[in-house]
Amino acid sequence: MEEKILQVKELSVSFSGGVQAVSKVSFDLNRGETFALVGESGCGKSTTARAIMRLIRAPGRITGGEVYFEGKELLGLSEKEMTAVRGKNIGMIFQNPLDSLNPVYTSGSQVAEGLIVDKMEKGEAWALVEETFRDVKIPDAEKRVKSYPHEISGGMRQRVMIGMMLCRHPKLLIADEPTTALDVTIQAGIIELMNDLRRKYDTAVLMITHDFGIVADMADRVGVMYAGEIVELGDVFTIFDHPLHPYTRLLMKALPVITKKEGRLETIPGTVPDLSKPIQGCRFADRCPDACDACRQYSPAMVEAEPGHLCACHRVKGGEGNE
Amino acid sequence: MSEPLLRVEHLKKYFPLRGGLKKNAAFVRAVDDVSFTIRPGETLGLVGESGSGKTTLAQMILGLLPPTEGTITLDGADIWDKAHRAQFHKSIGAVFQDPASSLNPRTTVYRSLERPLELNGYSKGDARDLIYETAEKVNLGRELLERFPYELSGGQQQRVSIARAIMLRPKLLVLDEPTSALDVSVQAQTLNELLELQQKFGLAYLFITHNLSVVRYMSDRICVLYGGKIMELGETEAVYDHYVHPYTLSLLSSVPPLHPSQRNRKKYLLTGDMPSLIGELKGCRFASRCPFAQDSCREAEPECKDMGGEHLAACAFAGELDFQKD
Amino acid sequence: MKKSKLWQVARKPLFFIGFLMLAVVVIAALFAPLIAPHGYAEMNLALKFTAPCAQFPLGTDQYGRCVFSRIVYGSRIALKVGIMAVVIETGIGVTLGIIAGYYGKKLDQAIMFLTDMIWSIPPIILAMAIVLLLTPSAENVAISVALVTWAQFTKIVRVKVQSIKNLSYIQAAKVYGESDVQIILRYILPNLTSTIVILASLALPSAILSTTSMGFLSLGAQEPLPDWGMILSGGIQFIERASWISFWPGLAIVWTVLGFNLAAEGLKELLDPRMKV
Repeated sequence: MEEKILQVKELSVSFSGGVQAVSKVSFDLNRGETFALVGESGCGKSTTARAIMRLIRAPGRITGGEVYFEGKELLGLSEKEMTAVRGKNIGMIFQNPLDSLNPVYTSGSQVAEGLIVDKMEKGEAWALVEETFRDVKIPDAEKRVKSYPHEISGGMRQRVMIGMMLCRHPKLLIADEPTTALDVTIQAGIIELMNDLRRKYDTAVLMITHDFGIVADMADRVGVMYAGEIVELGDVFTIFDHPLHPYTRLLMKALPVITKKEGRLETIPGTVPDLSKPIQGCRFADRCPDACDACRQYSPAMVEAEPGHLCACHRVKGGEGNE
Repeated sequence: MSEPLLRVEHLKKYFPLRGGLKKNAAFVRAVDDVSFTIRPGETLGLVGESGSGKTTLAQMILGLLPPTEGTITLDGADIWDKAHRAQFHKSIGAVFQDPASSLNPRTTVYRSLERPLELNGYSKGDARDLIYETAEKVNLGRELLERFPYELSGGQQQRVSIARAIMLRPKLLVLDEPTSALDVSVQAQTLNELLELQQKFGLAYLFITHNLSVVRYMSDRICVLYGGKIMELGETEAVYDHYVHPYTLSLLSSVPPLHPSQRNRKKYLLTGDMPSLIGELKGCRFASRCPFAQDSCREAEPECKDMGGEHLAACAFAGELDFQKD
Repeated sequence: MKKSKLWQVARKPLFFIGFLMLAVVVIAALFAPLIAPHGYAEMNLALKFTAPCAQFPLGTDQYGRCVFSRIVYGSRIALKVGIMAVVIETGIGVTLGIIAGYYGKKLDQAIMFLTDMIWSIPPIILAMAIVLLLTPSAENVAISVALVTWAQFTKIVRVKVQSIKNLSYIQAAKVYGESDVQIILRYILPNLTSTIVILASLALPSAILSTTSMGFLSLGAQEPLPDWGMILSGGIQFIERASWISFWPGLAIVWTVLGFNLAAEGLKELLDPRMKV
């Protein structure tokens, strides 16, 4: 019934010096679903997103795995075929909307360009651009299509980017920290907009973020990444209500949701392991309060702890809860 | 109530825009008539979005930027009073946002920590003792002291900055987005350490951030800034749970939820952008985006009302609006 | 890491050629008495306009002086004057740039006004006027060229200082009581060294070109000192009879300027490949 629109299978990416930025990451996205990849800096979440779009620049390279978009394998496509997929079928928005827009063209013409590539007539394209600007709730749409990127605020630029992507009705939108550079009040507007539009156009969203609040606000399912691997994956309510992986649990308790009178935040001792060296056992073992001998010996496999809830931890057994 | 440690009175900073030398030049009113106090040992959280003037305010309190108007007194002395300048440098410390650029890349961590002591008349030996002692207090391993900043992680770099700031035993620490560049787990550690240091030394903090959860965790009182003016100021609980200013309402309802079940909470989303702060400004700064604004709001600037218990709000209708809290 | 970078740059053929060309000029200047077969002022009117031969490798001029020897000795003047000019212009330009960038406001406006004024006058004409005011000599040429070229340093250094002074560690230093002078000397100058070295090395070839041009107009070192520009201009009237008098000093100028330019590009690549000048 649920159709899988994106399937990522054992995707691996390395950078120079043998750094395994992403190792054997697997997840699926259903049509119209929002999937969030959440993790701290250096965990490989952005690299995963770029690898799906085949935007990894040398010396980085995809060293293994498969990516299926609507059943079509992407990693084997020629650069020309991939260019046709980007924008038309899969849209992408980035953290810094000023870098993503060309400063010498008006924002409207940059949105129109994509439509003209799709063989739309000029007049028709411009009409659609104006409609899109209204769609993404940019005030004074008729005027704003003629503004240059530097003339509009960061929040508006991100709206232009979202409009630019969505007006071509892609089936998948990859959003890489789209609100990180924005103020909270602006962020709230963008999140609301993305939630509205994905329902309206039935677009699947792959959301890359470090912020659990955004996950709570947008995601249907979540993948938690640590040191290049997905360590836990499941429905957003399940992940928030009973996270299984020690990393997920500690990370949630590290969020400042209390006042200082109420107690202290949980901290995670140690640092992320050096990914340029081979790691024996679980990558989180050195920082894990529950680590046992097995954790330092063998790398844990992803097991389905309950239907739809996967976790890579020796302490978590398939089919039952923690301990 | 103890005597305030820091007193900021009617502080203004206008940046000249064009024709800086002319009499009728245009100004950006980055900070416009801000007054507040910080008591010894207390944390005042300063929240605001970009363009609210929070960093300009911090720069003035640190003595890095002369105010256009108004006074800042620390421990009873005007910070621009030359006679107290040496004391001022010892009484205040600063930690900035970007850990990487907070330390001189050309010198070792040890040297970075030694320099402020050298300047303030410590002998080499005394400096050494104090550096080791302080490094221990901020959980900085001694082996890290001989390294260069680029050899440290972001969290470690920020700890060095904190060590440098507290070494001279200041009374006030200005923390300008100290954890915004850090990961959640490192942030938690840094925040906890800051609280510990505060207890140990009775430090007062001016904690500047755009992160509303962090400010709630850290602060005794909170000051909400918008467009260079204070919108609401009061005890943390008062501002978080009994806020009366519509801007505080929008700000808090913009914070992403803690749990997916709160997804469909009632939101007060702001539309449009922050108004320009250039030239003569009339009425309430927030009126152009306020969902409750009346015509009168655009005409007259609201006065700061005391809602009781030193809970101030600059809104003409403070306490009369129905926010449908849930 | 640093070493391999040096190797990479040195291996690029153009930079390598530049360094070689430079080496020839520097060796000529250092060992002039050993290389030159004759003194630079040694006249022999009986042998004037001798074509290149074994005794006079590049021939003789209208006074029978050895052109080769004069060019070899002339490298000393060219380098001395060029380097002097660059040192002075760097000194003026960097100082004003730091003051303008660091203090800002009215000082900045005044200094920027001054640089704009300097830039609005054709440099060579202004330099000539200054030399004539000071009386022509090699040193005065260096001073005059420096006085018309420092502005390029000021503009670039100013912008650089404006961004450096807001670095958090410099702000922190002010908070713990570092004085302005200390901030400039301890924190800002070290951040400017590579910029200054690159700018100075790029300014050197044009300084040599300007100073030899002034020599051509007889505003520089006076006879019998062998200024390349002056030798060249002195030979022009005999160009049909003895082209070597003008040709070889001309080539020496081109050789030196080209060598310095290529080497400076290499240096820039080594120190700060992203810098735009």
